[in-house]
Amino acid sequence: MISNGPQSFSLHGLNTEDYLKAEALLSVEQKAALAARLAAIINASDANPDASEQWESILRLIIWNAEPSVVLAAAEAVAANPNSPRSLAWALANDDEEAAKVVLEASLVLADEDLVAIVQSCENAAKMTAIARRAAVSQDVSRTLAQHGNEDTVSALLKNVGADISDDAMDNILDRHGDLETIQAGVIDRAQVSDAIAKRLSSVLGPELAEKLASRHRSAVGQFPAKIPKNVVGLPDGLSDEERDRQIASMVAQRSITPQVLIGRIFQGHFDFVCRALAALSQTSADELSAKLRDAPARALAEVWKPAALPADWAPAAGIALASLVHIDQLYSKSDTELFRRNIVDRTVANIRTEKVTLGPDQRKFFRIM
Amino acid sequence: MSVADNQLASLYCLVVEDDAFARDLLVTTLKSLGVKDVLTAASGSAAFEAMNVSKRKIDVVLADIRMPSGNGLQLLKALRSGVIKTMRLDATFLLVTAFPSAGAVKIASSLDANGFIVKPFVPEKLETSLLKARRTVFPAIPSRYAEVTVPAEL
Repeated sequence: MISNGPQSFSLHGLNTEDYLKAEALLSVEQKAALAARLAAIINASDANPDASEQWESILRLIIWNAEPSVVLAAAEAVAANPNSPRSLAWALANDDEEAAKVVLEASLVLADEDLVAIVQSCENAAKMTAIARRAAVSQDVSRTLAQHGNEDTVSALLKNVGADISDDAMDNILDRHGDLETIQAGVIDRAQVSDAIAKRLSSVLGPELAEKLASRHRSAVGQFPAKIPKNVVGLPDGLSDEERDRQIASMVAQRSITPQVLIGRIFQGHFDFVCRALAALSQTSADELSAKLRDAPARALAEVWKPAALPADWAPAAGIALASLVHIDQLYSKSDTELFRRNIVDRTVANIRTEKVTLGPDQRKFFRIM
Repeated sequence: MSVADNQLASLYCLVVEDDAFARDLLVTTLKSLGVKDVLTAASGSAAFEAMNVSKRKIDVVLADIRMPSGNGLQLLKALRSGVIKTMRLDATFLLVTAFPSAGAVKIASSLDANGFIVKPFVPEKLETSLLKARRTVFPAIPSRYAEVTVPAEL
């Protein structure tokens, strides 16, 4: 007996021949209800194996031949049944997109090798994204999705806490999509990011995501670049303290430490050089001056500018530049040195405009060049 | 439907059917649906030969299941396993039968048949099945197909 509601079916003894005889008489709704019912009970612990074989045959014929809504009903039930025959899940996974997505995302009977093969042969992004959303995605499947998936698929994979993504897959993701902020953010939002991936990622991040990376994965970020200790303001200039002091002494003797040199060094992020040069010029303690310049850069620089015998008209711009360096240093990652330096320059120029600092011809020329 | 709109218009089909009347009926139906051309074979082994010597790419194979000298499932297995060198492993292959059994359906499914049509059928049914078969994209895995046992007698 097959009637309107799914509960009305008597499935006892239903075989392929019976179904084919009745097929033309069934409405689409009745076929959908039958498909859902069969797919839900097939291979159940109390199901007769012979009956299950017949039901599998009927469902396979439905998948080949029935209307899309019927196939979708079968897909939903197959996806929810952990005892579904793999052949049905496989057929549905390769069927039209709507039915395939349901099975690809939820069916437990599809093996990793099935999913890998489908991703490798499939050009359908929606199907790949469904696989990326599975409750658990193995390293093999993640790796294949990383190799073949588009931005949406990879984003879904990164958002999936059940996805096991190896570093080589992450590298592939960054190779293919690393310039996209959605992907960068997706990597950063992962619970764990290896030091190698964090280091690689840090080289392409903007300021906001760099901060997010640093705050979420402090242990990883803290290890690069190793040459920048956390307690050092700005960027290293590659010299030892002795070498730097010798260089500064030589420049003082030659009177070659000019405002342009100091501001240029500020833009390079060389805070230590600027401190020691100003200390040498003003004959004050470098350590004390360094502490003052960190705490209140513009005011401390203004105080030391005159004793250093530097031209007064450069002091406001130099103060703004130094304050910008300290500000950027406090807020942003130094992993991308070029970005770090560009931020200092941009902030300096913006603040000179905001504070309406009057610039002479030499200064205007200098900042235009910068 | 104009030829330009007809997604079947470019298809070159091979019909494999031992019964001459059924074969002619299938050819006529396919031509009424607007397929480009139809080649015929009266057995699996004849189809095997036809595929190997055809100078034109065969887009779709429609094969009866029960035939002497090579049944439709044996032909499908040969194609999927790479025995027929001139054809893609994932070529569109529909089985046509008047006597469907659960066993035949299972084997056809294991060999990733793109369609399974039960006779008798109306032209619209054949058209729907052909269109869906052409949409079905699956990864062909020859090692899996090689493990499928196909009896000579069905």
